[in-house]
Amino acid sequence: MSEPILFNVDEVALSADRCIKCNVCNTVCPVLPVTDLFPGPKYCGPQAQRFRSGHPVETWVDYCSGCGACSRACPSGVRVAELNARARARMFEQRGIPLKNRLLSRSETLGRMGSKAAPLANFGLNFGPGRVVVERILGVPREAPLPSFSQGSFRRRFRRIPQPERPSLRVGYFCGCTTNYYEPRVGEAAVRVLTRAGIGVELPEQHCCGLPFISNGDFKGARKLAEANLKALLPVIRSGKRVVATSTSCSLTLKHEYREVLGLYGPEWEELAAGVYDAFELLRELAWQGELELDATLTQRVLYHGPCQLRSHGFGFPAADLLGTLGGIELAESGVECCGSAGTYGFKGDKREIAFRVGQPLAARAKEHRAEVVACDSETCRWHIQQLTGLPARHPIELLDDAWSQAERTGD
Amino acid sequence: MPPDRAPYDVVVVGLGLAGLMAGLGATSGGARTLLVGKGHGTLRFRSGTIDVLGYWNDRSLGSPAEGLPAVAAERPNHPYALAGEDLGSGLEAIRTTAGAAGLDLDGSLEANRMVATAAGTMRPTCLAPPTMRADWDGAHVLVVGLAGYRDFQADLVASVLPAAGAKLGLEVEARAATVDLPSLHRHHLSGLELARLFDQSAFRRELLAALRGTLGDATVVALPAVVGLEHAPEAADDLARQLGVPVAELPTLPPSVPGLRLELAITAALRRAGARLQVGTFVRAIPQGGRIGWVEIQSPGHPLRVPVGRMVLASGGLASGGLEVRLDGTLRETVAELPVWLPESAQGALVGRSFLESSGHPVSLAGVQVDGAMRPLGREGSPLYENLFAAGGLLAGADRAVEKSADGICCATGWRAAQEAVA
Repeated sequence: MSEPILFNVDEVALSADRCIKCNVCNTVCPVLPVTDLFPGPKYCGPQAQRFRSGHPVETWVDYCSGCGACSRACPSGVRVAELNARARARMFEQRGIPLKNRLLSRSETLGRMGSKAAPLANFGLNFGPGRVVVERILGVPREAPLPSFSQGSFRRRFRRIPQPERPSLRVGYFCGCTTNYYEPRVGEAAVRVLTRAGIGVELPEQHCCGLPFISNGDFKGARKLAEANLKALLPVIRSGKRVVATSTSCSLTLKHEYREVLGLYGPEWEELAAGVYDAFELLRELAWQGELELDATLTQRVLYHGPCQLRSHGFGFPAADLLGTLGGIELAESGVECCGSAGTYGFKGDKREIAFRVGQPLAARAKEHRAEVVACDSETCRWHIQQLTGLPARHPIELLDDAWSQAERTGD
Repeated sequence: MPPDRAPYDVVVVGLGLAGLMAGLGATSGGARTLLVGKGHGTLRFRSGTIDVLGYWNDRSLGSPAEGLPAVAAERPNHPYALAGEDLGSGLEAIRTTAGAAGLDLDGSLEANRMVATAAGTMRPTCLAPPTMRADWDGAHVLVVGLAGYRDFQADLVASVLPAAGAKLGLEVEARAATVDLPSLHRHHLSGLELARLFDQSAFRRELLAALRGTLGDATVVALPAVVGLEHAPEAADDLARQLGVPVAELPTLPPSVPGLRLELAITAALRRAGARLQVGTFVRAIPQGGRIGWVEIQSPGHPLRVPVGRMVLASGGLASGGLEVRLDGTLRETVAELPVWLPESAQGALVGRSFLESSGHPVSLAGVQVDGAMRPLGREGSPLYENLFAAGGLLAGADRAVEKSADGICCATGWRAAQEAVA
């Protein structure tokens, strides 16, 4: 007797058949309007999917930025962006992964090396000839925004932040490579905010989430990291703690990409996905339950941009919900799907121009709001937005930390 | 455990026309409103007109108003029989909202007007953008196609239009011209790319130059409905002025530019009114006692639980995923597991023999039954949940494709549901 055919169906691959050609995905794709190099999600996703079995994949799939706007917009549940990510990986499997993609993926290794020799590395990256070398090897155009390495990792700084004596809740913080090596200040702000909310914070063992590997087509490398994170984080979750992250792209990778893009299905992966939360998602939950009062002031004109990966979490804009309750704040939302950067997409050679054009509506919106600062939950987006708008771009948790620190200083 | 502080007064599930209308109604009533849905609604692929009632009992109606009493008398569970009184307010609300974005919607319940389609046929509608209004009787139409744009064949339109007009007693002459412009030489050309081109005056000048010699005795220039997205009224005015004859837009294949214009106008108004819109996730409604306690937004990993004050369910019918046919041929409602009513005619066969059955398919009448306050009814005929209201394509009793009634039903019931939800 044959096996029942509905067993072990790959939901993502199968979802292509649900496409009714309504074109809604094409109405939201941010890349389609700015370049002819990309044919849009409908062709690139469900339509091309039919021809992919056993055949080389079209190279234009690499122009999909992976922002996921199409998957979110699809009324029929087609996982367009996920299909594209898988197709990109297959394309690289067939053609080989370019050296620049291999190097750009390794945010953890780059970070570890860079932050050990931060002054030297930063000098190299800020210095004209240094950027020419980076352009040649990494394929990162010399004008693309690169972060500075931090002197000393976040992990070292974490220990100095005092913890609440009797925490109402304990969480494990997934800080991500960027916070650890480039922007420890985001992690410090996060831990200060969480502890002030009465939450005990631990910093469990963790690895790069693997997203840079996924977006650069190296699924093998990504799966290794996924396995390592599963091993490190499941014990945290099984001890009754949530894993809390501030980078919405890292947390989406743990929750979503492992399963739907890398195809790592199974009860353990579901357990991991169920246990990962965004920091603001958790804080908003506490606020909704009446267990958290923000009660602080931030007199700033803020443009909040919910980055594309955050949008794919499907939990709305928890950071904007909370920032909006601060006194004195003039908060507006960007109302655009993507800033253009979409992870490392906007850092790669010919895509930088595309990313810049995609970002124009966001820049216009910041100007219209007369924003003093742009708040955004994703790191690569912040670096890109800083260049797009000329404004400082900060993680919303830094703004909340500012507001609370100020309230404490003035004794409110 | 569900949260206990309701962050929203009204949660609307569904982002199609009914959901957006409910959102407009709720925010105008002062409610803190969340609109959430799996993907964008059908406005982005419908034609941007508001069809209220074009046909009833195989009869073409001169006006929706003329047919509404018959609907109420003959089909007691038809949405118009239940919420017909709110049709006027719903239409006024959408007209005002579109108008605030510079998009006019002409027409009234007192008259249906004929709009030409990209197949060259004519169909009745109630409200339509001024660019879809044309003086068809006695018109000499120049149908303009754009080379490389496959979704609008000018030759086809010009060859069908005179016969389609004659059927309605209209004398229409038509000829076709397809223009090839350097700006059209793109890898991919959909209505959306064209609309963005039409937004630019440089492209319009290019088109005008190409059309100058071909105008002849034309009294109307018919174009695919792609004349501008963000600056649509300006683009159409500019073209008509420069051509010296009115421009008519013919709705074509998806993506629908006029539908998108309308959706963007409504969602902008909703955001201005403080509503939160969330696109991308399936939603489940969780009952608690005799009410909906909270909604579970199916975000990856774990659901987001949002407590519900009042809820409007506008998740659409079969084509939109609000209703689903199970393998055994029974129907289920996908968000709140509400009972689905099926007409007796559908008991044996849900659908007719051919896809475009002109008499409609029995299953089209299926849906959720509601009372006059739009509250979904249980099998015994009494409201199931005190704080749940339903609207739009989900409702039983109408064959929208045959009646040409989909948009009017969304306007009337979406508006009504919101009034009940903020009452």
